Order: sequence, then C-alpha cells, then structure tokens
Amino acid sequence: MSKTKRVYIILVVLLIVVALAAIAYGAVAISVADMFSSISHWLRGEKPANIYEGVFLQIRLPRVLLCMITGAVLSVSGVLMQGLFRNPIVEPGLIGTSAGAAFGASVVFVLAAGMGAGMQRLTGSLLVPLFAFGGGLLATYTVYLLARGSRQLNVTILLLIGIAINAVGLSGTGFMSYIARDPQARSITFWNLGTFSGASWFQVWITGTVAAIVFLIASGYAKQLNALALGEEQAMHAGVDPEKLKRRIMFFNTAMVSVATAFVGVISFMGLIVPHLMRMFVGSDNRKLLPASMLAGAMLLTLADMGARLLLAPAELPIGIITALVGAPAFIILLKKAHILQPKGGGYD
Amino acid sequence: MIEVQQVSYRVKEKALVNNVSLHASTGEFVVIMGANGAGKSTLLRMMAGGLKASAGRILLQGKPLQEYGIESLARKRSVLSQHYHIEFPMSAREIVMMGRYPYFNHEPHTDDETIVDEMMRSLEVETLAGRNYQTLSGGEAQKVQMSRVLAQIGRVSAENQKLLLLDEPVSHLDIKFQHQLLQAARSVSREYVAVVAVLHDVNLALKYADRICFMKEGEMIETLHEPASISTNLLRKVFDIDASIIDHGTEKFVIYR
Repeated sequence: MSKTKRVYIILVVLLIVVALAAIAYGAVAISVADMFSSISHWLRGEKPANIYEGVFLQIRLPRVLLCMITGAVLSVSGVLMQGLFRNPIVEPGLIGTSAGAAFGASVVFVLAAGMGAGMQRLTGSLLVPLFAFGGGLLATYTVYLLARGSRQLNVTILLLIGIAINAVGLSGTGFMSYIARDPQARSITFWNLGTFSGASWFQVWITGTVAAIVFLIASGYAKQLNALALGEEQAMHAGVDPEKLKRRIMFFNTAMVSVATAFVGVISFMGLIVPHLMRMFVGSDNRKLLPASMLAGAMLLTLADMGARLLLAPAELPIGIITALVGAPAFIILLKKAHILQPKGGGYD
Repeated sequence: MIEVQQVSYRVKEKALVNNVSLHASTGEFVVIMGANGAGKSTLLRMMAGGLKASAGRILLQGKPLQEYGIESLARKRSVLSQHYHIEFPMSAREIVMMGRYPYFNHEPHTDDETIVDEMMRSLEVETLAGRNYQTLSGGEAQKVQMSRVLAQIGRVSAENQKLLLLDEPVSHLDIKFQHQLLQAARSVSREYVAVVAVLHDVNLALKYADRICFMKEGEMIETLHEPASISTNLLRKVFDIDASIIDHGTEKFVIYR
C-alpha cells in the first residue's frame, strides 16, 4: 500500500472517531444506541422518541456535519489559494475572503431585519449566501489585483493589503452589527470569531452542496495548479492557461468559502495549518494534497468545535478563539521558514 | 519546423524586436546571440507563444502559433526558462513529471513514468528523484528543469516533430553542467527536434550551434551559417568588444582582450 493511501485511511478512521465523539459529548450526552434509534425513527418518518433522539437529530448531527463540511471547505480553500498565489502562507482569512463574505452576509441580516417580514423571509433563503459570495469575491479580487506586481506576486505586499482589506471588511461588519436591532446580528463576536451554535439542516444542505460541487471541480484542476508552481509563463509553456485557471479557481473557491462564512462567521488559520500539516505527509502534489486536506480539515475543525463546547461547558467558546490560538503560532513559524528559504545560491532569486 | 516572419514587438512605440525573421528545421541547433537588451529573450518568448507579436507572424509546422490551443502547443514545443523559483516542497521527480502533464489526464500512464526516468537518467539527475527540489543547488535544479523540458518533448518521430526553446539555459551552471546540458539539447536536435537557444558564451555557441543568429538593438543583423567563419569584425559589431580568434585543429575559440 502506498504511503498516501495509508495517510488517507488513517484520516478517514480518525474523522469517524472524532465525529462520533463530537456527536456523543456535549451538554447532553448521547449514546450510540440513541443515534441508531433516532435514525431508524427518522427513516420510518416517526417523531423522535425522547429528548436524546431529538437533540441528536436537530442539534448535534447538523452541527457536526456543518463543522466537517466547513473544515473541509476552509482547508481545501487554503490549498487552492496557496496554489493560485503560489505561496504557502495564504488562506481565506488572511486575504480578505472571509471578512468580505462576513460583511456581505451581515448586510443582508441587518438591513433585511429592519425591513419587515417580507424581507425576513428572504434572509432564510439564498440571499445570505449570495451576498456573502459578492462580498467575498470583491474583497479577494481587490487584494489580488492590488498585490499583483508587474510579474511576481509580492507576498509582503499581499499580506499587508490583505490586512487592509480585512480591516475594511471587519469594520463594515462592525458597523452593521452596531446598527442592528436583531440580537443575533448584534453579536459581533459571531462574525469575527465564528460559531457553530446556530447550525441547522438548511445550512448543512446549502454548504454541503456548494462544497461538493467545488471539490469535484477543484480536483480536476489539481494538476494544472501543480504546474502553476513553476510560474505563470512557465505553466503556459507546460500547457496550462494561467489566466483561465486563476479566474476559475478564484470564482469557485470564493463561492464555497463565502457560503460557509455566511453561516458560521470567520474562522481563521484553518486554511493555513491544515494544508501545511498535510504537505508533511503527502507532499505538495495537489492531486494528493486536496483530498488529504479535505479529510484532515473536517476532522480538525470538528475537534476544535468539540473543544469550544466542552472547555467551558455549559458555556461555549467561539471556535475562532481555538483555531487562532493554535493557528497564529503555526503561521509565525511558517513565515519565518519561508523567509529562510528564500535566498538561494546559483543566481536563483 | 518554426518560421518567424518579419516579426516585431513594440512597447509604447519602442521596438524591442524589429522586423526579425528566423527559421529552424528539425535536425538543427540554432543559437541566438547578442548583447543584453538586444531582444533575444523577447524573440524567444514570442516563439514560445507567451508573448504576442505586434507585427509579422510565426508559423509552427506551417500553422500560425495563435491557432494552437495552449495544451496542443505544449505537445509540440517545450521551453526552458532562465528562472524557476518554487515555493512548495516538491520532489525533483514530481517536477520532471510536470513535463508529461499535457499527455495525461489525472494519473500518468506507464509510458509517462518511463519517459520521466529516461530523461532524468540522460541528465544524470536520477539519484535526485526523491530529493526536495527546493534543497537542490542551482545547477542541479536547472538539470532537473531540463529533464522536465525534455520529458515534455517526449517521443518524436518523422510524423511527430517538435520544437525545443532554451532561454539562456546554462547561465548559472558550472562548466561541466553547461556542456552536459547543451550536449543533451544537441542530441535531441539530431532526432526530429528543432532546437533554438539563446546563449551568451560565444565559445559554447561555436561548439554546439549549426547556425548562429546575431541580434543587436532588436534587429537580426547577421546570420552565420558556418559558425567556424566567425570574425573579429562581427564580434565587434555585435558585442562592441575587441577579441581574437584562435584556431585549434578544426575548432575555433574566441578570447577577449
């Protein structure tokens, strides 16, 4: 068995174990028997027999599923963006995608809430992900255009512009929260630090569908993204249309990150740590890195969410606190390492 | 194989390449020389399809370059650039396998694997296959890139002829590696491949080229069909230097004063 396959199998097993644990533990403990009987009741179209089955079906299961999907989305997005920007220290939280998407979503939440019942019905539908997508795309594209130098993308400039655009997005979100009347939308921590406490089946379906479509498309671009690592013109020499590739990846990637962010807020550093971790196990070939990061991301974010629920139980921590606490040091180490690697002999810049 | 017809490239009225014509057939090793800023690399980039000519046209096997799709072009011609900087840890073999990307969909065929191994052996980098590309020396990295570019050429035949473009391929290499790389390029040029290379070293050009084209200020000012007929006058005209030419058996060497 190849090393990559072994890594996949270990990840799948870990993911299942973590998911079961995340479903079982919480304010109310749920046994495996409850899970099975709940599913069988649901399959037969019957109501949950007791509170445990109800908690499982309506609260815990959608939450864990949304968590897994979001973790996979952010990690896959990290891989895609790193490939696109040709740099290992890029992720949706750093270059404005998440902040832009959060702002887009907050606009709908807050303005629609002030407009009465008609608009409120819309907010439950596709309006939120759509606005999130608009905001995310606008922010990402702005960062990309501003940071793109004459030939090569300068990472320092990229990160600085990312900070600026992030600040704009977050202050916009802050303003929307400030003028909001709805208590849910008023909670600024929701947007800045993320939480899965409001997970619903509706969110699972929307995010899951978008994520599935984008994963499928992205895996088709894995090989081309590898070639892009050579440089844009060099990728063209190797048979890849870099402009077309960049446009498509940016579009699909922003779509899935925005939708996820619209529902759970900004969760930073996932897209950075997971691909980096997986590069150590499967290398940088995107054909292997994408599926590995997808599985690892799903597993790790579920783990982080379990921590968010259990550390201060019965109170709940925003999940972004946990991911940032682990992610920020990892980010600093990466930055340092990238800096050391840069000067190379033989005239290579 | 490739026919450059009165091609110009202008940036804001300034012609970087002005009315240049050039051709290369399979079995030929053509070298472009000239001082810095003479337009050599710009010409090569246009021939590679990465830069669109402002005027004139370039035909690859009788068909205008623009009419090729990017992927089908990659199956016809291969390019070695001056610089490759890769930010991700990738094995040398993974880099060489990229040369086969235009030929397979998701997973490489056995033939692709064979070609990759063959090309790495031909440049004596097969022992580096598992090494992280980022840790290679400049010379090793360039040889790995050359293996990739040769893997992209792949199999050739009378029905399937190809073009190899090299942009200052040996500028950062030591003397042994320079000869090794140019020798590899020369041997593919003997079998249904046309090779066009930009070189800076006159003596290397004299040793490997079948024909040397000299550029100055964007124009093609001289073509030496017989490299051995090089003269001090020509070198002064092109490079603005004083040189002597010494005969050593059948070979000629240029020394600078």
